[in-house]
Amino acid sequence: MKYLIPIFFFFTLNVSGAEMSNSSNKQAFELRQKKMLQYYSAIDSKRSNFFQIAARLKLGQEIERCRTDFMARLEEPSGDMFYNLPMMGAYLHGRDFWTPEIHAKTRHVWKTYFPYRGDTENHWVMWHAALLLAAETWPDLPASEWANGRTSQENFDDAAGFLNSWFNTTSTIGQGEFDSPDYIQVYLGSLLVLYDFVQDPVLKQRVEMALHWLLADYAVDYLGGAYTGGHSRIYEREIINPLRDGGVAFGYMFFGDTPFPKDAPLGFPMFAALTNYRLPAVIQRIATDRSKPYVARERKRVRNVIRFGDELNPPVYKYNYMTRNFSLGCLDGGLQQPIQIHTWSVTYRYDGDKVDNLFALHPYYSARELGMFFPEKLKVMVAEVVKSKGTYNKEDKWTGGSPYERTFQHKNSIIVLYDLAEDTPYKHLDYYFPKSLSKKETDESGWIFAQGGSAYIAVRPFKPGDWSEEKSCSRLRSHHLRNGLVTEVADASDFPSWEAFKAKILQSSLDLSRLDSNVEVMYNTSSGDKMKFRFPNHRILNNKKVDRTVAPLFESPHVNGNAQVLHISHGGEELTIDFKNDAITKRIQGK
Amino acid sequence: MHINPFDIKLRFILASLTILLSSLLSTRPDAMAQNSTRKIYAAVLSNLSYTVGAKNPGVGLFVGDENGAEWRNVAFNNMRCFAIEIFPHHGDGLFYTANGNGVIVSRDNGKSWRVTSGWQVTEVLEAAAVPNNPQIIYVGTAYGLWKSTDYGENLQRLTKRFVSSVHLDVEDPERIFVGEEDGLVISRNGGKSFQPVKNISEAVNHIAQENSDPNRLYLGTEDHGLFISNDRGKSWQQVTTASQTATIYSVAIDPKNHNIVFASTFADGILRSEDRGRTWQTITRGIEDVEVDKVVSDPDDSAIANRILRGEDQDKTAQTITGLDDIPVYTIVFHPDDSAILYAGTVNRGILRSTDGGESWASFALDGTHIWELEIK
Repeated sequence: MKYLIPIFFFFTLNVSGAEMSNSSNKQAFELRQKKMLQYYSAIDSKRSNFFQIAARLKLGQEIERCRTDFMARLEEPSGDMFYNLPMMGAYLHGRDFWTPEIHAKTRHVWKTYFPYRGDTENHWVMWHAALLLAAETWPDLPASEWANGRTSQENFDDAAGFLNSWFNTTSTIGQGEFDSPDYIQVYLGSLLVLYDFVQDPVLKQRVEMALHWLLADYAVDYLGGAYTGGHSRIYEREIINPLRDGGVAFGYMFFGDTPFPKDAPLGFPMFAALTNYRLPAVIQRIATDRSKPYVARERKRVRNVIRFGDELNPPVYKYNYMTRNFSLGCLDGGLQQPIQIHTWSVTYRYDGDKVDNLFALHPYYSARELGMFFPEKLKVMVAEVVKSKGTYNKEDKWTGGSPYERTFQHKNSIIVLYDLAEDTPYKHLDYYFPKSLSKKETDESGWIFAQGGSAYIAVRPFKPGDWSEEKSCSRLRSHHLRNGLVTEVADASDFPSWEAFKAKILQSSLDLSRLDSNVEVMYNTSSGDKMKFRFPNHRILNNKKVDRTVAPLFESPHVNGNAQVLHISHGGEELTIDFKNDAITKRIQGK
Repeated sequence: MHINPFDIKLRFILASLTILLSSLLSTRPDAMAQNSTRKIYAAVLSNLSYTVGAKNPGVGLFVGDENGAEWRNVAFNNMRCFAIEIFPHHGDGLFYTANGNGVIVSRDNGKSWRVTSGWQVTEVLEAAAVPNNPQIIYVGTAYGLWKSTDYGENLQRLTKRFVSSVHLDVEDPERIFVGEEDGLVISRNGGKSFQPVKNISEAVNHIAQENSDPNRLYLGTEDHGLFISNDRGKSWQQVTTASQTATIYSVAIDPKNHNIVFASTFADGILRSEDRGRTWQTITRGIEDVEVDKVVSDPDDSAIANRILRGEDQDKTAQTITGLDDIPVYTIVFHPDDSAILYAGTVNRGILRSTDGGESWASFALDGTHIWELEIK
């Protein structure tokens, strides 16, 4: 299926991503590449990091310093896969500048430095990408020339085995560390280095397909630089400052609709600034066309459940309602990833190019949660995790999932229910109302009306709480075991006035009579849809039971996919990524 | 609170000297002389400052001697090590390590190492090789039990559930006891098939067997204390004379007197029985009134990588250690030549030692580290 398959009035041909990008997009992308390289190269540092070295060499700047700094970093390898992948990226991007001593020293690192390959999906992708490139760079070496005691061929086979398995798993049951505003930088950075330097032609094709896949996944949930909706992993700094997360600079590079992201992490994005990979224009248009609101559904997978479960990778269902000014998105809730999951939020644009989040959560931590995903002894696990994720066991944290939280969303309305156990460490919900809201009013009916940019937001806590002011937000804390909220969001342009929005919301009906007895609520949205939700998973929409079990991997107006095949379409152009047949096909309507 | 770095350094040096001195003074001269060639191997999983990607991880396989000095990292300085199996006299010296990176093997006494497992085998937590035929090894992982008959080169998956402990019968290595997250399974045919033990539904942390009477076994469990079997694992009785809710991480039986049994716990100190498990006493002596407050990295990666400073009033995050019951103890081993000497591997307090048959304990080596397993060779 790789070559010339005519289908009705479409034509199909096998093309590379590089050929798909039209010339103006290509020129604009290359200008952004140059700007990114120039900005990052100019940042002064005592010793250049690997990303800076690669950037400066690309620009032909400070070549001797790059050699010195690269050599110094080879003298002191540390940092596990966070070292090896950037090191190989810089080495290969700068290969024409290296002295024989540097080539020999780089080889020596692989002979003597044996890093930990990690325990997480992004670690494994980094490690195996670096190992594969090293095995191809130095083929045919005996086991004695590698710190891990394997030959070049064995290392290649092992790394290729992992990467192919990861491609197949991701395209079959979804990514485990999915839609992470931070770790997307690691996946894209690793794949871009692979794309530029992998020699194996089949792997190169699959890497390009994986890049298209992940960027299409990002594009669907992309709003002005932010990765919206639910996330597998997010840090608090990224919830509070969404435009400082690891994906922002990739959004700037590939989608090109935001200001230069000088406050975002720029290390891994250097590999986007250096790459020969070109994003198909159709994906860029999907990321930036918000002319019509749409619903995007996705299915991902839970990270490997190694204890306390019968299914290795249970499904995760993501729902996101996207508009030009805001998104409302969620995961189903529960412990679908450890430590850093973000279950739901309203994300809105304001002040032109800024973005912020409004959400609520139940702060939860437990050894059992960690034991589901990590192998250490249960009773010491919380202390181990807190060493690197310091807020994990804190009562006022702003990230993390709870087994006592579930969501039910329909378009621009969401119900979130909480049924807290008596013995849970913290028995409250926290609402995050960001300071960027231009309005925040509490109505005597119990509704809280807020405005963020052009988004009108109505939040109805089911139980009362206490307000406190913090630097980035107003916190509403509610201490009740059976609790929850309804939120509706609308675009200001859909209403003649703020008062009209409030009046419309007040016409909706909310039945909380069975909340305390059954953890069940009914809500008739302001648009007339009837939502009935009983904790944990009984969802009724307009008198029909909601069945998630038949959900495909992707379902939205522009991105649809299942069983290793992804269809990406916009404006009469369709791109198909097919991991079953290792094929990329493009169709243009009417040609 | 202002902390004077010179004061910290001085306290650190004094504390280190104190430990070294106390270790030397508390060691019986006859034992020192008799066993001067014994090496102690420690599987270091973590330490107070360890995170993935740390500049100076200070974890992996460490080796030292009975003087407590000259501890050094063997093989790799950043390989999280869960378990070890060491056969110094097999071939040129056989080492198995169970790591985050898989099964890593040396067959030349630690001079060179090889990852024998592929990308599919991760989170290798336990290792048990057949003593008289150590090319056969069973490794317990988060994804089940695997077996190799060729020094780990080829691994065959035998079970699928999380493995928390593996024990090979002392007389019949075809009989394999495997502790899982919710019970115990036993194979009588070298792993071809496994049968669950009916009345054990707890997470099994450790399995120990008497050499002199192999029918008698001990189980250490998570939150359910100890269990004893007198019929080689067919049936088990919960020990009621010790806490039935304790988390037991390991059981050690005196190789010269099976009446003496120790059990290490998460938060109940060290338990000792002098009547073959009928009654138990709790030992909490040692390691008293110490504040643990900060980690420093040793500039020499090959030496003890991390240590802790101690002081009375140094940091808001200081944790006061008031006794053994404040220190989770993962493993206890008897000295092979002198049962009065025992070593304990702990969480974040490195290796403790007792030289009085377990009556009292003192810090011995690798302070600040999180030890998963110890072997004395």
